[in-house]
Amino acid sequence: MQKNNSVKIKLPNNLILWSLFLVLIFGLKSNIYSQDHLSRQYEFANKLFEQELFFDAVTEYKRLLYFDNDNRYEYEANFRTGSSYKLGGKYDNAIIYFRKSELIARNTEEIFNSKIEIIRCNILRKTTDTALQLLKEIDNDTRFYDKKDMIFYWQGWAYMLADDWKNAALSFYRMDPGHELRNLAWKVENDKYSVTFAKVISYILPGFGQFYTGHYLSGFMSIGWNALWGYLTINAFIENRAFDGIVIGNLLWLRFYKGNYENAVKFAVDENIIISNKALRFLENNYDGEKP
Amino acid sequence: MLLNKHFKVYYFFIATCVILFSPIFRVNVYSQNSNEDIFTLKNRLAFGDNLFCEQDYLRAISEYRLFLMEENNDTVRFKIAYALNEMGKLDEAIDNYKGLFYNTSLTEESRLEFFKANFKKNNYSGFRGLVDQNVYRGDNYSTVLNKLYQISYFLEGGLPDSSKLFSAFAEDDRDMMKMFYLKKKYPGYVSLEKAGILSAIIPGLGKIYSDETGDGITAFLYTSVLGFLAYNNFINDHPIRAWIFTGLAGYFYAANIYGSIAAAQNYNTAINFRFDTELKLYLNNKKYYFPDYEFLCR
Repeated sequence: MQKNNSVKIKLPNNLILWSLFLVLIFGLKSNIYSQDHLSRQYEFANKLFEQELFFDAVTEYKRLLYFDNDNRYEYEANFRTGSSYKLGGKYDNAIIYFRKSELIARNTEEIFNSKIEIIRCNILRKTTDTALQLLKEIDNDTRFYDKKDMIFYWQGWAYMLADDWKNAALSFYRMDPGHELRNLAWKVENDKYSVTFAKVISYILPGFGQFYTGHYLSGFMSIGWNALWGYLTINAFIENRAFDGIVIGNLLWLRFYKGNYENAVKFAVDENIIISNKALRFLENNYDGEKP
Repeated sequence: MLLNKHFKVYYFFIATCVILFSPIFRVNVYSQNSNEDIFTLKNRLAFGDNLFCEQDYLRAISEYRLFLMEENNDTVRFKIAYALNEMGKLDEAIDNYKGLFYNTSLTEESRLEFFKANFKKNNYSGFRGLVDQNVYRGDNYSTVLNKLYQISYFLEGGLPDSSKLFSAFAEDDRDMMKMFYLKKKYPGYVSLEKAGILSAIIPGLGKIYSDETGDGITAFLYTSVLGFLAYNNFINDHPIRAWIFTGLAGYFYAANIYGSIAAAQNYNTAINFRFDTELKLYLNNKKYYFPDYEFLCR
């Protein structure tokens, strides 16, 4: 009876230990297994991203997001989905995912990175007003006090894409007075023609606005037409043919006079576009620094 | 006996622990939670549905197609066709709907969507031809098709039979249809001939009639000043200048008549464009009078 009792006491202890052991081993194993699946999915999506297969990368990051019930990869997957969309040229979708990553960011660094990516997408899709507004907001945010250089850098880019080279040069200057992009922006600003000057000089001296922008033939033509119709108008008035003077003056001289200054403005604007585009092409093809 | 009883209890306990925490069981639990074994057929379908509801149709279609390689499912095939339709790939959508016409659980719905895709192709007479053939037309949704049938006349630039049109719609929509009907019947077009004749009598008047008042006044001033200059130079014996101004006046006069006819044409085109846009917007808001399918996105 005693023997029986001891068996009764001993066996359960062993069994409890064994069962606890089994619980531990199998429980742990299955946990590792589940994490492994998600991490493999994350690695798979990253691999697609690195191979620049952005469409497939988006699918796999979205799959990861869908199955990641514990939200372990929520920030990374959203951020990478945004990046994939961005690199695939889908800026609107990219912004949606960067906003999501911003909302679930775990620290200031992640919030800043998401915000900057949203700004970069806005620069790329040419909504530079929004980009500048967002930059102003993070510039005033004390959490990003140590990120001023980067804020000025992207501000400079936003201004460049907004064709405001003077402010671009100022932004780069605030970051680093000798920065390569500051010099470029300043050079573009200096190379550009003043549209106001081209207009005013053409008001005073017809054809000179065209000379200013380097369109000499057009300038001489303008001088010729204005001189001819101006002479005929004045001559008509001198010869007391007031009606002829009014008609020639209105229908011909004023038409060429107006054409002259409108042309000068158009040439200045066109030349400025050429100068800006040349600089942007340089940035696209030859600039080694970070681009939007 | 007592020992045997204890053994039974503890073996049962161990067996329960093993089953509960074994990887096989965990896989099942996690599959239900969609957290494990991501690429199972069930999970692929669930993910595809999620993409579909997010309106990421292209990716949803890819998932669905991979699902269909393993298992046939009418709802999934319907969703592929629906996604193609939403993406504007109407011909592909039509082909996919056709595959669901016979011996499927979504015969009626796919036939109805087939007609919708045909309607959206803007070939309205072709759409009516399909409806008239009565081959694919189902019984359950004939009311919806009849509405689109009547509306198609409007979008083709014509007028439906008023009694058939109004009887196709319920009371609340009937008023809108009456409004569209009246707008189409009395569109307020301007006459091209009248615009030309008016400008021939008084330069610029045709343009004013076609709602281009500024252009009309300018045309009147230019033509009359040039005409007067020609007349004045003839009177004052300046024949060369007089003929130059006569030529210019004639050129402006003819251009003004041509411009007035063009302005009238633009005016009428704008009326048609506004009407079509308004009607299509109304149809979109009403979802083409189509039912909401619960199986698409819950």
